[in-house]
Amino acid sequence: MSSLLPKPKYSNYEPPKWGIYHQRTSSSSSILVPSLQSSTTIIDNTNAPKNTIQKLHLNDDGSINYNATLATVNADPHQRVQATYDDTVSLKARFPRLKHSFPRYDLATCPDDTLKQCVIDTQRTIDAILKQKLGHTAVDNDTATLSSGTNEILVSTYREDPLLPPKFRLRKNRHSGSPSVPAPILKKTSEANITKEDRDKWRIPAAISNWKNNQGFTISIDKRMQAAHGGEGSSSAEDVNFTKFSQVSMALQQAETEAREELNQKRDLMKQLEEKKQRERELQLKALAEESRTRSKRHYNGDNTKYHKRRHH
Amino acid sequence: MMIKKLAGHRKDLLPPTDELSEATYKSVRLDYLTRLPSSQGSSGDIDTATSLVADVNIDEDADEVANINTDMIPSSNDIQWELQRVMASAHDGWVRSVAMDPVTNDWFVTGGSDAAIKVWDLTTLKLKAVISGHILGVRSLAVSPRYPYLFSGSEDKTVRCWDLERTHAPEGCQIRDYHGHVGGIYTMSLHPELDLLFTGGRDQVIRVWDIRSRTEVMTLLGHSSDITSIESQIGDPQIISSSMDSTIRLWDLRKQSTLLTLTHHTKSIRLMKLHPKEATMCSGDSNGNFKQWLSSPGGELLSEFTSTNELSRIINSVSINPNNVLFAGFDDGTLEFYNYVSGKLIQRTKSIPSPGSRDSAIYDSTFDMSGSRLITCEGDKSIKIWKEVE
Repeated sequence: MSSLLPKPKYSNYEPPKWGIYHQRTSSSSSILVPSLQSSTTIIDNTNAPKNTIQKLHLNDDGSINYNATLATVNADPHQRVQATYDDTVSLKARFPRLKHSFPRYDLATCPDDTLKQCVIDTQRTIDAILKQKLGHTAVDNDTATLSSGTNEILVSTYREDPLLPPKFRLRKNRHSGSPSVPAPILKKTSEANITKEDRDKWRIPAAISNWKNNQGFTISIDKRMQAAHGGEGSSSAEDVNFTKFSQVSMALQQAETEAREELNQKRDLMKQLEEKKQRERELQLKALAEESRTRSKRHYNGDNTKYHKRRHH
Repeated sequence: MMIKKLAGHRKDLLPPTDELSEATYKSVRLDYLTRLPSSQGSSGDIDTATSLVADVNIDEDADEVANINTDMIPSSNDIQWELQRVMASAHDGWVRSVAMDPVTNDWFVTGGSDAAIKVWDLTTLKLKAVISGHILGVRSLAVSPRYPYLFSGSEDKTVRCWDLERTHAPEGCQIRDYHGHVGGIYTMSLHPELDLLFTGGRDQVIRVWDIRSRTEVMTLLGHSSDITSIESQIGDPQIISSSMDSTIRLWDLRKQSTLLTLTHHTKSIRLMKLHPKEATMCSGDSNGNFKQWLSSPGGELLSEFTSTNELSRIINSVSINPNNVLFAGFDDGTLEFYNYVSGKLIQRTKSIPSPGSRDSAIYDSTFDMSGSRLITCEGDKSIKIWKEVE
């Protein structure tokens, strides 16, 4: 790993050059080799200690290509990696006279048998995995006989309705994270710092409701206005007409006190009426009681022998 | 070494003096990047490349060299598009996904947030069938070109297979389900040759299903956020996926591993689509950036351009026409049509939301197989059909 570190800034140390120098000539008669990843040289770092990187990618001038080397640490060393500045420039920008012709081949039109081979290989891979996962092929899955001596045991698999809903509910994602080294990131960073306007644009105001205020906080008028308009549009203090607002609130307050007074008066009147009625009823009851008392006295005086007799016998 | 060998090969193939400019010369060489469908290692790779280059006829005339295959691709320059028909309240919720019948081009299916899948006739725009069974919104649909099957993935974490020949059967037409996802399914793709289904979504992995046995054959790990689109092709890379972690991954299906990670995008990619005829693809991120790539194992960046739409930068949907029209649908309902080759903006319109909804985000879109109609699925519960202006 230490050999992969770049050369210190002001040192005379020259990093070891691996491989061969490839000279590029710009004359049109020479052959230009495409700058594909596969064309860079890969060498074995076999005599290195165990925990160091085993495959080193080299640039054309023989120095180590750190991007490609690090990007393929855990992977196949021949894996393509886009790690250079050239990869960030589009082909049409690099080659302005590039004609747009990239035909897609299918099995019938492909000039060689690479597509066919690819399909066959994939089918073979899939078949191998399926065989491993399903255990048996479909034919001998149904019944299998085990014969041991005289006894013969018939083992048959339980047939299931393929349309039954799944028995197990999957809840947790067991597959997260990448198994490979993260790829080199080829994107422009935003060079401009975020301005205050940008930050304000992203600021989300706290939610205010005109209906619920459980904690009983005082909410300023502009916030109430904003909430009344569905949280849209900014309403500053200037937008609120304070004189009118105070007039409205005064009027509301006055109306409220008037209403309360009226209510009080009505309640007093009702109370008085009630008391009067009560008094009348009491008088009536008193009179009734008086009358009944006098009547009973008369009755007692008139014929009381029977009563006496019953009492003494 | 290898390079020297290659140089030696090339010297024999080319005439000793050529007056091609370096750029054209390089573009000729680029052809073999796309003509190389599979690559196993490194050295064998280069050998096949040189053998392929041998049959490219290099002439004195530079234009002819580059025009080898251009006659295959018709170019429709700057044709404007107009709204043909609005299917208002086609679903009882957002219309989240659409898939065209690849064989007859007669009908299309849409899936909505109301958990229903609806089959529509393309010409009459009449409802042919309603397929119910999902519990949550249907986010992805795929119609098999070889079987009468429809595959659907939903936010309720289920992938289901429907038999389209029995859509009116009283017992329902679901014939299979693929159990294993632990998050909503946002996208799916069918392998063009093999019986494989690729699904991905909220749980950050791509699952490869054997369609017949319902077995999860492989689990492809690597993305660190939701997977937003999966595309599949015959040669390597057989699967290409884009993710909310703003990367695109090219996968080697045989080794079950990532072939290449493309980290050029700065924001999450909501959609990536393969060109129906070319070996290229286009991805759009949430910052209004489009990037075109070669869908070869090298994954070279072909070109990039940015939308100038000021209102919304979030590209929700991308569709590519066989006639090289690139459609982009934005989150605020803006539609943009680009020339796929030059990246030039042809037209920008805004979809008018149906009465009752404020905005109509374009959630999914597809061209029909001929490329003359565009179907957009919108947030105002409507499906809109667009056609070229005559």
